[in-house]
Amino acid sequence: MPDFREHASALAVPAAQLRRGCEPLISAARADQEKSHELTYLGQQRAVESLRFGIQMEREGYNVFVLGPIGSNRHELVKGLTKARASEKGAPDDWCYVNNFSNPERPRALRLPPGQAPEFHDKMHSLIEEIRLAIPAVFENDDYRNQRKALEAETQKEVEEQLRRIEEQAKKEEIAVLQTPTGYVLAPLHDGKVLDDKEFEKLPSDKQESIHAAIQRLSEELEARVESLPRLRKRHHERIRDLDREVTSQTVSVLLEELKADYRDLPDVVSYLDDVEQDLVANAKEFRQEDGATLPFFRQDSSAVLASYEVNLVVSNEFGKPAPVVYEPNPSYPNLIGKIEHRAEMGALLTDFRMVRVGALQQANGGYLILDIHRILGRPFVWEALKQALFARQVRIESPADALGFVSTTTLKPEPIPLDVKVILIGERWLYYVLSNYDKEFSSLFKVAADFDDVLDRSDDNVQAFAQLTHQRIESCKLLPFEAPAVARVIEQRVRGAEDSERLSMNIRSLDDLLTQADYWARQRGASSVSVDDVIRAIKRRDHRLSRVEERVIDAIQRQTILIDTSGSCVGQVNGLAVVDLGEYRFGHPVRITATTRVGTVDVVDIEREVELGGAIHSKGMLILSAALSARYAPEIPLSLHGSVVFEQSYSGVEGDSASVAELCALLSSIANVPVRQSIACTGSINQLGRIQAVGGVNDKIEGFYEVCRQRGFDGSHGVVIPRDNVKHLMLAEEIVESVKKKEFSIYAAQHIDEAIEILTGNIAGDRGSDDQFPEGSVNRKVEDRLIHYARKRKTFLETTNGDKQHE
Amino acid sequence: METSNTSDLRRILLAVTETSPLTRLWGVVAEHLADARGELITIFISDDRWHRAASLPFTREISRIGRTNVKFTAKRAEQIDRDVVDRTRLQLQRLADEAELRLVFEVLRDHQTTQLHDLVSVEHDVLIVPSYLRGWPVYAEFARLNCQILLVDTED
Repeated sequence: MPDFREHASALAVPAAQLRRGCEPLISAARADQEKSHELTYLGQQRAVESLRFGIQMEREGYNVFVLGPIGSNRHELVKGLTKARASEKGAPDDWCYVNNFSNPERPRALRLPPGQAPEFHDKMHSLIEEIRLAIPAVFENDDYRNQRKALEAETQKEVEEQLRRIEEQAKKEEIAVLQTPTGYVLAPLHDGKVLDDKEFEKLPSDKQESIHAAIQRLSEELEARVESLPRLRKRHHERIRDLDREVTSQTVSVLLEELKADYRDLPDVVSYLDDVEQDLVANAKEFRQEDGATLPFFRQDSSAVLASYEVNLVVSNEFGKPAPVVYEPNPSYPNLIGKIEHRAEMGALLTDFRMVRVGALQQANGGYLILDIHRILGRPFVWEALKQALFARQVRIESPADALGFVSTTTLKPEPIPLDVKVILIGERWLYYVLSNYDKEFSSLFKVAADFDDVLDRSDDNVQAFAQLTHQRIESCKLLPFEAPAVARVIEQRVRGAEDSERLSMNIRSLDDLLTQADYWARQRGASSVSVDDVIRAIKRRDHRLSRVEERVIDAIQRQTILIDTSGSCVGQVNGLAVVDLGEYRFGHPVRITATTRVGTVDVVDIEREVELGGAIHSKGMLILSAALSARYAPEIPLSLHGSVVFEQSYSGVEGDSASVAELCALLSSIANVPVRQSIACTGSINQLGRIQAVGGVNDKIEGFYEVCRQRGFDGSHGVVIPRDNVKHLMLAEEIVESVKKKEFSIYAAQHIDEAIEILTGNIAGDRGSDDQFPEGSVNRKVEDRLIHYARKRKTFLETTNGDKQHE
Repeated sequence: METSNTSDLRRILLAVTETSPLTRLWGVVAEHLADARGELITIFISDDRWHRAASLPFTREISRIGRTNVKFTAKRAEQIDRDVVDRTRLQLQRLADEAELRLVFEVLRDHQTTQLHDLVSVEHDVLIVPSYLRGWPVYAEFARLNCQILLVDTED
C-alpha cells in the first residue's frame, strides 16, 4: 500500500502560495490630471459605461439603478459623472406658484426662463407696494370724491322724488304721509292736523269712504314705490362700483403696462398679469376706506388682498449654470414631492398658494436626482409617489392622506409641474434583484443598471493603478505621505479584503479607513511619513477593537467550555471550521462535528435540520453527502444505514455547505471505525461524485484553527485540509506562513474526498481495483465492508421478524 | 320749573316740534347768547299725530324695506313719539353741552297748549319759534308770553 505520507506531502500547499505579497517597489509617482480622473473609475468600467449611457439617454424610462456593495465609492462616481453631463445641458426653467383668481384652491404654476423668476418675484412685490399707495390715493382724489358725491346726490334725489310725488298726491287728497323709523304711515288730515278716530267718525260717510279709498290707493302706490327703492339703491351701488372700477382700472393698467411689456415674450406670464389686473379692478372697493367704525376683526385690510398678488418662487436656476444635480439624503415624502404648509390663525389652520413648498423632484427638474433606494423603501408612500411622478411625468403636490382619498376637507391642489428629470437610485444588489422580480413597474422606469464590481483583477497594471489611486486618496484625505512598503502593505490588505490572492478589493471606504488609521498611528509617533509598521499597527489595532467575541470563543475553547481536541484521534469526530460574520469583522473557529452510525433504513439524519437550526443550503449539503455515500459504496446493495451528524455545542443557526466534507469524513470514520486525527481541521463542500469544491472564508477559518493550536502549542502535526480550488484565495497572516515554513503547521489542498480522508485518518483511502474491490485495509474497503455487514444484518433481522409473525 | 335769578344771565325760550330744523334754530340761539352765560328752555310741542293716526282702525305702517304693512297700534305710536322726543332732547343736549349752556327740556302736548304759562313762569329775553308754528294753535299762547318772539324762517 502506498505510504500516505507521500500523498500528504504532495497535498501540502507550499508556503509561497499561502500569501502573495506585494512588491514594495511600486512607483509612488502621482498620476497626471487626466489619469487621475480615470483612477476614480478604476475597476468600474462596466458601471461607468452603464452610467454614462443612462445619463445621456434622453428617453423615457431610462433612469438608472446603481447597484453594488456599500463602500464602493458609488456616490462620488455618480455625482462626478452627472455633474459633468449637467454642465453640458445648461440650467432649466424657473418655476413659481401664483394665485389662481378664478379658483384659489388650485394655485397656478408659472414657468419662466432660468434666472428670471426671482426678478419677476421682486417686480411683482414692487408692484404691490405701488398699488398699496396708488389705489387708495385714487379714492382720496378730489375728482373721484366729486364724482361719487354727484352719484350719491343723484340717487338721493331719485329716492326723494319717489316720496315727494306720493306726498304731493297725498296732500292734494288731504292725506298725511308720516315717516316712522322703519316705514310710513298714511293718515287723514284736516287743517293740517291728523284726524283722530272721534273726528273721523264725525265726517260724512261718503267722506269717510273716500278717505278710506284714498288711503288704500296711496298705500298701494307707496308700497310700490318703496319696493322700487332697493332697485334704486342697487343701481346706485352698481354705478359706484363701475366708478371704482374705472378709476382703479386706469391706475392699474398704467402700473402693469410696463410689467407686461417686460414679459411680452412669455404668454403665460402676460395672461397671469391680465388676471391680476382684472382682479384688482374687481376688488377695487377693498382699497377704499369705508366710513364708520367697524370692529377690528371685521375691518377689511387691503394687505390680505394684496398678498394674493405675491409670487411664490419655488424653483430658481441661474442662467448659464449647469443643470441641477440634487442628492436628497432624506427622501421623506414631503422632501421629495413637496408639501402644503399651513399657518394657525385664530384657532383655524389656513393656507394659500404662498404656502406651497416643492421637493427634491422639482428642484432637480431638468437635471438629475440621486437617491438611496433603501431610504426610499424605508419611508412610507415615497416609492409609490416617485414611480407615479415618473410615469405621469409630472409632480402633484398633495399629502399622502389626500392622495389615498382619506381627507374630506378642502385643501390646495396646486397645478402639477411637468417633470423632466433623470433619477439615479443607489442601492445594494439584492434590492435591485428584489425590485426587478417583484415590482413590475420597476423595470419600465429603471432600464439601466450600473453594476459596480467588488474586486479588480490583480494584474501588474492594475496594481500600479491601484497604488496611484491610493496616493490620490491619501492626498484627498490630506494624510501624511506613505512610504512605498506601506503602500504595498495596503495593497496586500486589499487582496485580503477580496478574499482572493488574484484580486483587489474595490471597497474604497475600507481603503480610506485603513489609510486614515495608519496616518493616525504615524502622527502618534511624530512621524512625517507613514511606514509599513504604521499600516500593520492600524490593521492589528482595528482587529483588536473588534475581536472581543473572537477572544471569548477561543477562550471558551481553551478552557474546554467548548470541547475541541487538537491532539490524538477519535472515531466519528472531525474538527470542522466555521466563520462568524459580525458585519465589519469576521473570524473563524473550529467546530466539533460528530457522526454515529448503526443498522438502519437508509437515512442520514442531519440533527441541525431536525431541530430547524440548519439552513436550506446546509441541508442540501447533507443530502448531497448522503447521495455521495450511497453512490460510492456497495452500490448494488441496499443501503441499510442509519447515521446522524451534528455540530456539537452549536445552539444558533448553521448555514452553508462548507462543512459537508468534514461531515462525510466523520460519517466514514464512524462506519469504518477508523479514528480521525484531531490535530487536523477540515473545510470544503462535497458533490455527489466525491469532488471537493471551493468554499468561502478560507483564510479566516485557517487562522481560527491556527490560533487555537498556537495557544496550545504545536507538535508538527497540526494543519487544515482545504479544497484545492481555494488555494488561489489564500492570503494568510504572515505569522502562519512562517509557521508553515517551520513545519509547525501545514495546509493541505484536497480535490477528492479520498485525499481528505487520507490526511485526516492517516490511512490510505483506496481505489477500486479491477476486481471491483477496494484494497484490503483501506478506509474505503472498511466502509464498504461495514455497509455490506449492515445490509446482511438488516436482512437477517427482517427475515427473522417476518418468520415470527408467520408462526403466530 | 327752576331758573337762575342772576341778572346777567340770558334766558332763551325755544319752541321746537318733531320736524324743526334744529341746526338752524340753534344758530339763532347761539347768536343771542353771544359771549354771555345763558339758560335755554326748550318746549317740544307734540301734535300727537302718532296717537291720532293710531286711533284710526284702518291705519297701517308700510315697511320701508319690503312689501309688508302692519297695523299701526297705539303702542307703536307711543314708541315713536317717545323716540322722537328723546332724539330731539339728545341732540339739543349735545349742542348745549358744547356751548356750556344749561338746558331745560319740556314736552307740551298739542292739546295742553294752555298749560304753556305753567311751564314758562319767568321772564325770558326771547322766544325763538320756527315760522311754520304760526299756523298752530299754540302760537296764540306764545303771543301772550311777555317776551320778544323771534320767528325763524324754515322754508327753503
